[in-house]
Amino acid sequence: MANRFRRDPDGLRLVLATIISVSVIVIEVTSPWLDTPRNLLSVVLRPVQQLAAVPQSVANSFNSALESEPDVKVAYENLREEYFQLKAETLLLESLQKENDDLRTLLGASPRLRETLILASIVSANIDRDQHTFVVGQGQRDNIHHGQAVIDDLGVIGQVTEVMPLTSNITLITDPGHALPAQIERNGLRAVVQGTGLLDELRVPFLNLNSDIQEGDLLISSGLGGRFPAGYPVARVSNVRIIEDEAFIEVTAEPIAKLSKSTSVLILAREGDSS
Amino acid sequence: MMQLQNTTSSSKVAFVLSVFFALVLAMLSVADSIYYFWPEWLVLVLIFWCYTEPDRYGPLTGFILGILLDVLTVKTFGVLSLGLAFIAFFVNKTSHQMKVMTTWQQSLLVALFLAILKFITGWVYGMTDEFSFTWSFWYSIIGSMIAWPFLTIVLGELRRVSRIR
Repeated sequence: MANRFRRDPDGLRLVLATIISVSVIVIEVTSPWLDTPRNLLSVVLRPVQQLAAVPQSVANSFNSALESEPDVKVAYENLREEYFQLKAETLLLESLQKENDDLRTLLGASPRLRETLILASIVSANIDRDQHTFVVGQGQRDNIHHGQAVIDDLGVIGQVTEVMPLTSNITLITDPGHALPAQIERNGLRAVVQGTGLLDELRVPFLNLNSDIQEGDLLISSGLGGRFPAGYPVARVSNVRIIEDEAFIEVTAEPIAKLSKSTSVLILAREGDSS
Repeated sequence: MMQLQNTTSSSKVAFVLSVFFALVLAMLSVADSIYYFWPEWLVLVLIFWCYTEPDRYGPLTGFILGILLDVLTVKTFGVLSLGLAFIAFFVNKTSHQMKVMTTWQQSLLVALFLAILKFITGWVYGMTDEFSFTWSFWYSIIGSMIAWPFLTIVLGELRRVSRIR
């Protein structure tokens, strides 16, 4: 045997590489020991990701440079209007928040946690049938933790599933392995929103024939499970189908967040867990 | 690994450069329409170096490149390193035949190598991760076949220049 390998060192190397790879796979699947070397390597490989993100940012800046002046003016006016509107609404919200806090103290309930936002830029998107993930250019260094909810200006995008020193991985709500506790805004009916592997479709399983759900209903996060804070828009019901002789009805919904268009996302951090 | 010591360093520079750009190309976010067809750049680069210089680049090179790609794509650690080590081994073994082939014949062989790689990695992903074979999983073989002739021209030139220096 040893003689054979002396004549064929490649074979020995292949056996060596196979043994190491297989043990790495086994360790990776069964324990978190390999996270540290992986994190180190991901820092070393950061330039690769940065360079890979250049074309997109160049394209973005080109697009904004090519916009004509009247368009920019119109956009500016719109933004100004929106800004004042939002500011007014914030004032209202602040008073409501205060009132809510007061009511909660009266009830003896614990105060609702406030969220702060971290802006993260998408470095790469990985969308195929079995996996929907984003890699963002923020990681441990920017106080991002495993399990934080991720939103954009319209609705829920997903959650942080892997944190490395300089980057982190976000699993989208459309990932086939992802499920999110939600409720219908209209009547508070609880439901689960599952990913399907398609960017524009979600599934709402386990609703029976007499569930009060209809097309156009807005699904918001219910806050159950403690991962996603309550009240963020998730999806709009696009189709409700009753299948005869089936215990459950088939409900599909469309995500509200711009999953395929966004270039940056917001990561929600609870106030106080910034340690 | 003994051979590594008496090589010119500029040839190694060419290797590292090509690997770096292959990693960048692999991580590039491309339009949805060509997403599935996007070639497996790093595998192509590995195949190129393993067949032009089989004494220098082999299964261990494949293993290291696989680790790098594993980290970048954030999938199960070790799967691609296993697959690429096998590919490097096969390419080493067929390097003599590949040298006398035309580019298009090489393309076909590259497709075969990629199919083997995809089969190995898909199989291990199936055991360790949530994964199932789909048609789109194989599409990048077509893209890689088309990219191969262009890649050999560029890398061949790079290798030639680095050798002259």
